[in-house]
Amino acid sequence: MSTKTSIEHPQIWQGFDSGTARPTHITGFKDLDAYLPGGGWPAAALMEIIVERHGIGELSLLMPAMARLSAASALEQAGRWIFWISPPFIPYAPALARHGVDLNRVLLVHAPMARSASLWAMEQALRAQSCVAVLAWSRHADDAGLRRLQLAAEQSHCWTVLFRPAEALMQRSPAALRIKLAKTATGTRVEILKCRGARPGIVDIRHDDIGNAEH
Amino acid sequence: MSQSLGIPTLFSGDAQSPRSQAHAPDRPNKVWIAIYFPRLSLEAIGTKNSDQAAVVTETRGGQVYVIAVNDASVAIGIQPGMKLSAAFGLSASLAALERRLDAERSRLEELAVAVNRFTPIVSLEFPAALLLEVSGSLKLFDGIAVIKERLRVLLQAHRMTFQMCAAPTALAALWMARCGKSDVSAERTLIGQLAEVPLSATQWPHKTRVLLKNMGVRTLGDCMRLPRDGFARRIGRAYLQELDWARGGRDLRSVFEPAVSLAVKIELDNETDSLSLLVRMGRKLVDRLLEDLRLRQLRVSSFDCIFRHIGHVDTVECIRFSEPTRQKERFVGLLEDRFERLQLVAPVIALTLQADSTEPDIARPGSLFVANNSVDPESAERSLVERLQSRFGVENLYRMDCVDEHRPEAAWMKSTGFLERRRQPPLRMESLPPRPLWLLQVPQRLQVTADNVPCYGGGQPLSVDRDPERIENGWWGDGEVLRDYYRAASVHGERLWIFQEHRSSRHWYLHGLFG
Repeated sequence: MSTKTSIEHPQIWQGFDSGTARPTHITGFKDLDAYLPGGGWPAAALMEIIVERHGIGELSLLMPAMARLSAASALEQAGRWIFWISPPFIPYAPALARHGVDLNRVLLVHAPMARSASLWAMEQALRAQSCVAVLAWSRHADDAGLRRLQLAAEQSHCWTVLFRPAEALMQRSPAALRIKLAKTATGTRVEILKCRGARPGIVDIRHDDIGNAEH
Repeated sequence: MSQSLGIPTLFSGDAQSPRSQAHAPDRPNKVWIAIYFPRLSLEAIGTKNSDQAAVVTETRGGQVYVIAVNDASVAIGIQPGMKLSAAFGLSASLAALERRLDAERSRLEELAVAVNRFTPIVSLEFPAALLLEVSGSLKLFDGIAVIKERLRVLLQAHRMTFQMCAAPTALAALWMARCGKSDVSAERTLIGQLAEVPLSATQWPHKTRVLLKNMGVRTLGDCMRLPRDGFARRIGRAYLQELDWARGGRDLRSVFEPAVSLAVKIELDNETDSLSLLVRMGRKLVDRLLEDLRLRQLRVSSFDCIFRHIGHVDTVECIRFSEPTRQKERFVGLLEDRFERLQLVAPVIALTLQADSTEPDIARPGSLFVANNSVDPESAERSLVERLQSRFGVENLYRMDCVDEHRPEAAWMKSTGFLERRRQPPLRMESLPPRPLWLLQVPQRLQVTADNVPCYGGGQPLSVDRDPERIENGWWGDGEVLRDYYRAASVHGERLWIFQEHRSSRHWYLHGLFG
């Protein structure tokens, strides 16, 4: 058996392989799209965003993709809702609308920040197959819980974004993509800590890009 | 149901005659049976010993009157309408019971359920009668005589005293049952037989009957001989209408529908506080409840889980659906969610699922070629909403809509219309300066440095942009606002939306973050 044939064995996972087409959502930021395999956020997988502070551009980063999702017909998609679970503040409706997000598709639940409430809500949302995107904020998430979420996200073809505090860096993660955000003088720094199909790295996004991102 | 059974009579010999078609084109011949219970108020309370004289009393104008009597009282000469004191004069050992309207009502409903087997159209006639429309059941039971005979047997088994009468109209049957007249077998004899009915059978108010009596009117026949307009003016239009109904005009009577309450129960030999056992019991009970619902073609909008403890009050958990349903997944899903978070005061000895709010399940036409495993997206959305509401509370799950308002905190509102699509108001604020993606529920007061620069996050002064946006609403608004909004950045890179107040104070507040 040659090396080549053994490498092609289906049970061997080939790193850096962008050939296996996984669905993605265009991020709207050129540098980021170029970096991420498939040219965008993984559409049917769990993605973790580590933020130390709120208000450093963590939502703006997602807005172009969210606007694009909410513009597409719900019938063509896995579900209808863009579901926000336990956000730290109120997502401001006029600002969302201005970013092009269809408010008819935004659903919001203030689950208590208790240990498992927001993860429970996420799992319900994913299982119901009626969400096209789930955004959740959680302080605690255990390994088993995250694994279940990752699986549920894949099965329901739902873009699943979990915002976690810096302590989460101590924990391994089954997420398909894990990024950390930081503020720079000119914009937001996206540090890619783990990415299925790409090396860890850093992409800087400038304020101007955020303003001009394609919707 | 009588309507659908009534349609074939268009082709029957009777309906083909031109007279009956012209007379009542949309009214198929009805057959009403009225059952009047003269001793309902006594029988509803129930006396154990029928040899003892017993009466039911009612207080009218400070006097206590006898309104119902049993055989033993009749034997010693006590009549309904007597004063109680007079009755005691006839028998000192008389048992006088006070009238209980609630008991009468529930006895009447019980009887209505019992006679429901002869026709679906049963109507309660308070205070003491039932009306059955049996035209649709004549063929099944082989004629009116058989139905009446079976009713007689049934009512005797219920130990009721009754008078029964059949007639083509509901009111005629009722009035004639009250005065014990015989059946009206044909429509053409109705008026004649009705004419002999004394006024008292109508149970019109005493005042009305006295008025008519003074005019020399004693029977319904006398009434019908009076000029219509005069009768309507002097006696009342409502009574004229009743006369018309009795003679064959339209009569809309509400059909009695028994409220169906379903309960299924599992009792344990030993108490348990094992959650997994309770969940298994719950699932089993859901199966049984659903089977009951399916047999009766009912669905429910809520059900109660009743946990029985020894030596403690029952724990009752009500589970609500967003709409009436009979779907197993929704029952089981909500039940499991609820059980998992259950706080029981004591171990459980029995579990009951009880559904009171039932309603008929009207099947929706489905597509013939539907894949079995496909999930209806709307029902999936609905059941997700239900589960989230059930766990986090109705007020914590919402959609958002924009509102055309100056004050930022009022420019949006919560909405719970989850399944409808709303047209958002056109965005006038395209021309306004940017708005933050995060808004604080309540603006947060900011500390200031010595030279009045606002601080955030550990006392670090903010770098504040220069051009403020002034937002104010006039004195007519409910919350007066005059604020200058600035964009600001903290040393940690947070981009904030802050304002300085210009009304009563000059404080700085944080109102949003440009997430």
